[in-house]
Amino acid sequence: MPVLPDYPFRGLRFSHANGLTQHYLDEGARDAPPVLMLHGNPSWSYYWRRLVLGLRDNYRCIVPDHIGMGLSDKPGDERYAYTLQSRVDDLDALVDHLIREGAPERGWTLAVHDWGGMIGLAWACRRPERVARIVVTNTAAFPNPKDQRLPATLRLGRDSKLGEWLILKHNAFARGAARWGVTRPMAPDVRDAFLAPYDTPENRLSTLRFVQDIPLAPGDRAWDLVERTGHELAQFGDRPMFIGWGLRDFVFDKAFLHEWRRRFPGAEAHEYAQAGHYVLEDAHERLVPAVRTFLQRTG
Amino acid sequence: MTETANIASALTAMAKLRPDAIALRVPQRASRGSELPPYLDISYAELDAASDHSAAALAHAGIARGIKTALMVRPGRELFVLMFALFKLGAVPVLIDPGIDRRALRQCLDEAAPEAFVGIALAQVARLVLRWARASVRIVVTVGGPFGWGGKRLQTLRDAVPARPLTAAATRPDELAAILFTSGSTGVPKGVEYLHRHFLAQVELLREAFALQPGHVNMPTFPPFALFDPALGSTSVIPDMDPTRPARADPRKLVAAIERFGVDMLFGSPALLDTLSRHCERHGVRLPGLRRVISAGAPVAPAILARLRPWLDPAAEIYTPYGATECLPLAVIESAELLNDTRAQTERGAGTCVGRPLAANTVRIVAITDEAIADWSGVRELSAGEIGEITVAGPTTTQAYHARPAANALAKVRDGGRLVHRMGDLGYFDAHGRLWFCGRKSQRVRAAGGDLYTEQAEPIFNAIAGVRRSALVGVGAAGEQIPVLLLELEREAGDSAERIEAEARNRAQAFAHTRCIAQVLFHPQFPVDIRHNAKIGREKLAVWAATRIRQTQ
Repeated sequence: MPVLPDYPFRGLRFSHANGLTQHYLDEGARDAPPVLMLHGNPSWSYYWRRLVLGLRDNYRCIVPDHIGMGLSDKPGDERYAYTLQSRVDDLDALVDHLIREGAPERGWTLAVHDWGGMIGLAWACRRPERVARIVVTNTAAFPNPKDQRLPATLRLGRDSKLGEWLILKHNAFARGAARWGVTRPMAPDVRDAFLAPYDTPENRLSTLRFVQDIPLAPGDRAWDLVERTGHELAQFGDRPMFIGWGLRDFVFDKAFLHEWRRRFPGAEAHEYAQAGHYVLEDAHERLVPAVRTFLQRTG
Repeated sequence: MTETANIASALTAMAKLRPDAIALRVPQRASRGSELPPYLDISYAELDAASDHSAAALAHAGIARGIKTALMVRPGRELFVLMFALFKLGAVPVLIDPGIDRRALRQCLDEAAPEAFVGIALAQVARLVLRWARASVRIVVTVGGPFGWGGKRLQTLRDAVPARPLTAAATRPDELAAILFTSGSTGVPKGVEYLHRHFLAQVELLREAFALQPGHVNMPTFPPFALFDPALGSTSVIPDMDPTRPARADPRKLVAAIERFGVDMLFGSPALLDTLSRHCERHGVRLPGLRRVISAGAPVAPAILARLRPWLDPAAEIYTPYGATECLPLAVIESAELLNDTRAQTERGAGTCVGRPLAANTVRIVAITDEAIADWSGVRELSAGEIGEITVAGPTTTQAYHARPAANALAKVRDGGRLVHRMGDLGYFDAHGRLWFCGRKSQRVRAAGGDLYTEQAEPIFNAIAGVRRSALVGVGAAGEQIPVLLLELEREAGDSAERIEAEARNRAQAFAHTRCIAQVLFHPQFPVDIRHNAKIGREKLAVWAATRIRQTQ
């Protein structure tokens, strides 16, 4: 592993019933209010490092790497079903474990990015009593509001052999995201850190399966869960929500942002005109203090 | 147990409460061009720990409670760290506005007589070459660089002592905390003695006057104010600029930093606000995130406020506090009131409205005299509408100038258990309880028909198109001075001098109190203080006017 800038953490590992171990950060005081941060694809807990550093003095930051990603185990298809449902089950098992070990049953803040939003909110719908607040950044928890259109680059990755080959053989997805997901070019050591877990084709499987699992129509594997989550999302209207959005995101674009704001008109929304998909990279100087202020205001 | 007060305790308390919150964002180096340089973030915990460590290092060099210590470092990490380190030791930092005149600087240092001198290499070289404070300095600490310059390197001292938490000295509220020299408009600057309770009260008054809460992001372009940010729990974003030349700050960098770091509060001198507002106007740059703009250091022209206003959020507030190093803040006014209401009166010669005094301050107007007043019983207090000298007594009213008994006699009045400060400014209260500033007492024109006050005359003429600024000076002996109006024109207005002169004479005739202005002269470029580009050297202009008048007679 290369040196990971601004990632001075000692992660923990949780063993699932299927024998796979999941890496997660658990930073901050044991008795502090927990903040659960969920990354998407193709990032990993590294993406949340600055929010962890900015919150861990007053909050307990729990940041898992999804199976197949970051520093978690990266099994082949024969050992793990790379589906949205599996991710939600994994998360539920991890949180249960933490609660058994003394974390509170209620009062969790959920912070999500990218596909982490789908995983996190699907889990929240299963365990609504646990979630006290939601921090939403460039993500979705409902079917694509623009109907079934995906940017060509993602469609290529999702639906073609060429895309599969590019992602597995050339790490196209992780590389592309590190390049096109930000408006402020990443420092080389930061980009290396983002890519570090995806160093071999075997280790890139999850980034491919994630893309292939994006449901576009009824019948797709994840469709039902996505649609159900979209329906049940309204129950969180009574809970404080923070929306932090990088406007220069060609996947989770303004249509997604508007959908969140339409569904949660009371949310505290911050738009970052110059920031891209990795909004926490491009606008961390403003986003981290804003999240902190939000948590303190609603604490 | 006796009461203790130390401004550094506020930092330690904040560091306990929110250790990882960011206290400072400082440029790692100056950048060329308009790009922002890389910034370094310093958390409350780091700032507190670093100042503990530096306090131990300075103590190792012999700096201890009560030791006057000249501090000359650039605004940035080290300035904050060392200021708080000195406060923690109970040592007395001597801070000199880097914008003041070189020769005055030496006199300031001789007068302050610091025993210790902590400064960057450049300051140490200047100290050696220009023989600053030679008689008093016995401890020298050099910040940065490979040499000690006759003393110890700070880094060497830091390496010699362990980094461990330190409890701030239990200084008393009435104990001397710092000596501040700021650029005076006349004469050699005087060192203002701040006691620990003054700093604590100042933080409270700022919090109250501007409704400050922890979590604000402040860009202090005017260094002294920045020091209070950590005590207020806000984040300071240090701009990449030369703080002694605010007018030359690159507005593109200011705007970029405001945008990137989510700056919601800007502390700026009028010169900086002028530069920034011109940039916004020229390029249509909006600053929607700024919620509060506070001008400081010199009076800000309404035209600058009017130019800045449209580029801010409609709900944003621009405050112009009134006060001086000796008492800050004294009163405050928001730009809406100034632009919508009082500006028109200012341009008709009413003076400049500086707002309402803060509740904690007792502000009274007394009959004008250039003599000392030992006791309040010797004062003739004036009622609303009458122009006199502005006096103040309050929690931030400082008690003395350092080693200047004569100046103290002229500026301080005993009033029972407290001292009242005479501002040296003239003004009056209107029927609404608002304070109006009419000019410096020392710059009033003493004509045969009565006194004229600069701030009641100059704004009338400043409003003429083509006039950059004006100055009213007196030529001759007190009591029979000839009032002379000097005009400096905008660069492009050179060929309309005749029209402007006629307009000026017309306006002078239009108001009773300016009717006696008979002489109008054009001056190519007024002498102004380099720091603010705003305080007019009327004394120099009076000498110039006298010569000109003699030549033409």
